[in-house]
Amino acid sequence: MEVVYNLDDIRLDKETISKREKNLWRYRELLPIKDEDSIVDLGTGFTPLHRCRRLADELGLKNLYIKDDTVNPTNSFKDRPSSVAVSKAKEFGAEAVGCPSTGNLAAAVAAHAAKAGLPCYIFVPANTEANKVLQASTYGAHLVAVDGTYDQANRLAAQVAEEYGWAFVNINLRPFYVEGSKTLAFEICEQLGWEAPDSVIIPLGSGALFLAIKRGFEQFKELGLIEDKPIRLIGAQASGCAPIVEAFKAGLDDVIPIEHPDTVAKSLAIGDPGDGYYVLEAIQETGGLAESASDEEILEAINFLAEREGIFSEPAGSVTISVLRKLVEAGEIHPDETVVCCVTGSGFKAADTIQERLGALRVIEPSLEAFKAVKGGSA
Amino acid sequence: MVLVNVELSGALATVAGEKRLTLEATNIRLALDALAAKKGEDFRGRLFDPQGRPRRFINIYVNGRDYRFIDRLDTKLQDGDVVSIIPAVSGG
Repeated sequence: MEVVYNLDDIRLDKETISKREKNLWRYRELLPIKDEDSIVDLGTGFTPLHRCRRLADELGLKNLYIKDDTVNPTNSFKDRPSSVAVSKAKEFGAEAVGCPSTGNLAAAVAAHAAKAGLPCYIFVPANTEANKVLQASTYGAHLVAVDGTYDQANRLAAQVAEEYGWAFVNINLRPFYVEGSKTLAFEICEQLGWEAPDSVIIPLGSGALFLAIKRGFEQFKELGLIEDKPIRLIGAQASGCAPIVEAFKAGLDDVIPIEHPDTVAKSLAIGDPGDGYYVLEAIQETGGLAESASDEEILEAINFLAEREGIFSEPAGSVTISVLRKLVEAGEIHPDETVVCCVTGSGFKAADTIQERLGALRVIEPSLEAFKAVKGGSA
Repeated sequence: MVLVNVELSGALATVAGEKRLTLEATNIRLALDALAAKKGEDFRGRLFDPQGRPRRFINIYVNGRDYRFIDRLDTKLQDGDVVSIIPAVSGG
């Protein structure tokens, strides 16, 4: 099931949108909530689209942007689908909400449930990063750690949703949930001055974000808000869990699931991507690509991005930077293209993993001599 | 005789009119066929695509393990096995 809009009946112009509050509800005519009183809003969306000149210069590109969703209320893009899905749960009069999660959705749903005053049940794999668990728990959600993979947590959550009739955002509210993420595409266009980019690099977990972004561009084209030109959609996965990339490279028309994902990009550790088949179709349709990066490349890209552009990404976000570098080196990205990389979650989410790469903090006596001794050669 | 316990959820449970039932089948293919024969054409259409393959948005587990990691449709069933048929879920 999916939400369908009668775009012929929607009157929405650039001026109207531009005057509205800077959050995702500025596109409310294109979101599936009827009753505005049901909207649960923490200020999600309209995150910065940074022009990345230092990164671009180093890679030999002219127009490189990062869509920085690390600054959403719970520090990942998951606030977008959660805001829409929890609003819908409220509109439906749900008794409780919840989700299975690799961690980011947990915090996003928990925060929106708190704002809505709804009980919240979250199922996460037991190896979920500590900060993600900490954040979701602090919002007051009931957290259930499952001894297994995300796919196994998913299965249990589906059974729980069925048993108790609760509104689980990515299960029985899925058609509404996935609509929230398309606002990422709307914002990219608006922030580029109502222009479409040439290529967008998107992290792939289940593939739902990828398809939502595609749908967002299509709706803006249909409404005449952007020019009807091709936009290449590029998927990025971690090598330790890359079923979509592997299917793409092997020329398969469907994904072969992976039973035991193994990657530092835990937000992307989905071995059985529910939308994998449709992502492969969408890649073909948009002339896109799919590429993976190793854990080492992903972790290195966190520093590469942070040191050049001041953006602190989690591994699931920096994978787009690793893939960008690979594709530039392979000549798959033209220097003149307008490229947008989606950085979807904050580095604080995966602090444990990132910390492992940093050396111990050097402590000195509070004296100028001690500072001079450790300063080194740089200014 | 091999009797297996089938668990349904989501729209499949609604159309089937029950969440749990017992079937006689020695592998997944036979279990799905028996289930479709028992529950009628509407149910069959929701379970299988026009080519007769289980639909993409349905996940099938045998005692909690995805059947695609065992022997797909040829996965053998033992007496008392639990076959769960559950809609696939989006990312999280």
